[in-house]
Amino acid sequence: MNDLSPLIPRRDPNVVMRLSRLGSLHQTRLSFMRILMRRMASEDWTFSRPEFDIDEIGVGYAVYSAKTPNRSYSLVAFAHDLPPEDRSDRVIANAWDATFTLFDGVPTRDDIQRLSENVPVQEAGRITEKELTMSRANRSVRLWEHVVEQLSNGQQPDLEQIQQVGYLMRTTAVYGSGKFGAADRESIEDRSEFKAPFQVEMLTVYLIRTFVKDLVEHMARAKGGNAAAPLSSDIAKQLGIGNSTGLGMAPFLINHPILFSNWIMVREEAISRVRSVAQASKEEIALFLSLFDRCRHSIDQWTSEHPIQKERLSKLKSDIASIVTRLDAQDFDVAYPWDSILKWAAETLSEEGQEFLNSLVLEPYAQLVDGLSSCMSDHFERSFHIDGAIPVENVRQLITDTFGWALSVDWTAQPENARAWYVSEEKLEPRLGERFEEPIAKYEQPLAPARDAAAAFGALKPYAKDAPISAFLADHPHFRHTIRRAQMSALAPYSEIRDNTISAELLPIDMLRAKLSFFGAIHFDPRSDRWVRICMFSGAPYPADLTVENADFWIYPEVA
Amino acid sequence: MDLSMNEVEAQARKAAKGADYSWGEAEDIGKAVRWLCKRGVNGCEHLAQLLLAKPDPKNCPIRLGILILDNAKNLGDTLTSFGSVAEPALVIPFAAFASAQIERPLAIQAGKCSVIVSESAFEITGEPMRNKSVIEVKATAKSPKLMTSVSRASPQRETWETLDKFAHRTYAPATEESRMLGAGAGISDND
Repeated sequence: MNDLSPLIPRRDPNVVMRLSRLGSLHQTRLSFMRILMRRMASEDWTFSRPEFDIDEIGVGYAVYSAKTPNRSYSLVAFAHDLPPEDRSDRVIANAWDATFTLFDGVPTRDDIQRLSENVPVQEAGRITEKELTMSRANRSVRLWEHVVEQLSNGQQPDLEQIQQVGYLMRTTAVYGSGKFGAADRESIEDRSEFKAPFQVEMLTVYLIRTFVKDLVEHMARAKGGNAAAPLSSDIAKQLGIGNSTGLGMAPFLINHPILFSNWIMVREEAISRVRSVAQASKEEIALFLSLFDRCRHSIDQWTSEHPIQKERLSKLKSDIASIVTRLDAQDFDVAYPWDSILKWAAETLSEEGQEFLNSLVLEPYAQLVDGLSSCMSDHFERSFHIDGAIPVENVRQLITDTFGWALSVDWTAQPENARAWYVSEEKLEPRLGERFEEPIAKYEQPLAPARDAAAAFGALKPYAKDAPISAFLADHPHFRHTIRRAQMSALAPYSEIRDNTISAELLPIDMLRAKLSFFGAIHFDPRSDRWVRICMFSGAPYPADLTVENADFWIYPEVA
Repeated sequence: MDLSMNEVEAQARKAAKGADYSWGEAEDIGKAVRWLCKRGVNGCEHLAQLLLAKPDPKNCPIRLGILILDNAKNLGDTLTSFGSVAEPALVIPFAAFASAQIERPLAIQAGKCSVIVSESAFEITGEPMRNKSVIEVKATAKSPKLMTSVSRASPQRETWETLDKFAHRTYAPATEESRMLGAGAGISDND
């Protein structure tokens, strides 16, 4: 990743890895959705709907096929008639409006039969090595009913309502990587289309979006017969797939330190490469300015009822106004124009505004940036294993580098140690509790790396500087997890969140947003401090319309 | 049963934690059981038997395995177990992880059973590995034959249920308060 040796170095992890900043990240051209869209277009994937067997009350199944140059993948979708009282986005739900699996190849009759007995019950069922993901979605009841009603009368839905909600269905989980019997990631990661992270999951959601459009039109026809109209392509394009994400995603970032570091490092590397561009061409500047205009439109449509996000949005909107003024005055002929803009941003804007710009400046530089997508996976299986020969002194130094700030925190103080992450026996839902109010401490998951690193640092003190860490571990097996993380941090500078993940002040939505921004999500709408709704693939061309020309900048709505 | 390797690793990790290994040890155990299953060995069964038997630390294959791994770079000398080792097959993957670090194979002698272990393969000669063997480990110049790996694990249901029982100890009992507050819900999703 260092072959270009950019002049401007990557930002310091102490700046980047703070929770408030991670909670302000925006999608980039390296987001997993955008990597997938570009690949599908450049490889000229073909799409079809071999089966659609759904009755007039909306119950049945359908199959959507995606053909790459070498393989086929099939989304098998089951549509259900869900009583409204059962509609819940929680992990603990037992029924959904629609359930899905992504099949590796073309399913036979027997496969469909087997899947119909397992996929609709989700976690209570089993899938096999032939399946790559399992997923489910619930309707946005308001918008669904409105759209069916309008279309059945031959009318188009109200644009304002479309924009307010943004999706007809939201997924509440997309399971991959061997969950519930699915194929392991390691068995498919050698396929070029799945080298970047989360590509099977993104493909699943992309195909779900087409299914949802077909289903709503089908329901409108069932209701209105010949009078029914199809969705106008403009409105259909604006509709994404919602996603409701709870706490389960937050531990993921802590449990996959090297993977997370790779995501952040790649983004930081991309930013440093663009900052190091000495002269921007006219075309690059024009593209940046036009996408900035399109963003303004998208940000205007971003609403949230949550007080924290409302405040961040109001700051972002005022940041946008400052950026407009700044760009009007910007002399793009100066040396290192992007660096000058981003330096100004770091001094002037909120973290939302800074990270918005950090993402946006990457857009004109596909050739500097896109190749980095191959560095976003975790190929360092060996780095998992502890090297027992490393001297105590080195480990203490690694802890100081990453968690220096945590060494002076009073971890016995209640506010610093207020929370504990645990897994409930109820459908194994990840939860966050109050350590001093609930009987959960004995079930605590190892999701407080800073506290544990500070404790290990203290316990290391009596050991000789040049003693091997194996001597310490033999006496303190309890710190094995923490020592492993410290050793990983030597390879993965952005692996650790540099904030307290169990403090009374913690906002888990910051962690959720960091992850979702790498998926390519927009319009983050927290529903509480630990629960966020987002929109995916809004603005994306549907399979029939996908071309190399529209596969890149679809995420920025065209300004009329 | 037909299980993914991800399921095996996660279950082994949680079961080990439920049986009072530390989180860090449990992570190594998850990787070790996965390594065995990928090579067609019923690692789940070995772990289940170990957790049920609760051997004394001096007879624990995990403790020995971690000792081998953490001292990989000093294995020029022979390392001998402190006692007779329960479920000695569980030592093999740790030897494999150690072998990866020093980039040369290790030889395990367990009674009349000899095992050569590399990063991704092992080969047994002599008698089958027996429970409660005294184990010696040292570096070797020999290499095991290449092994093909499998992508799925198929433990007996009872084995899996045993691991599940231990894993269950890591889950907090469901309470109404936790249900309402712990995941931050409370707003209707029927919108």
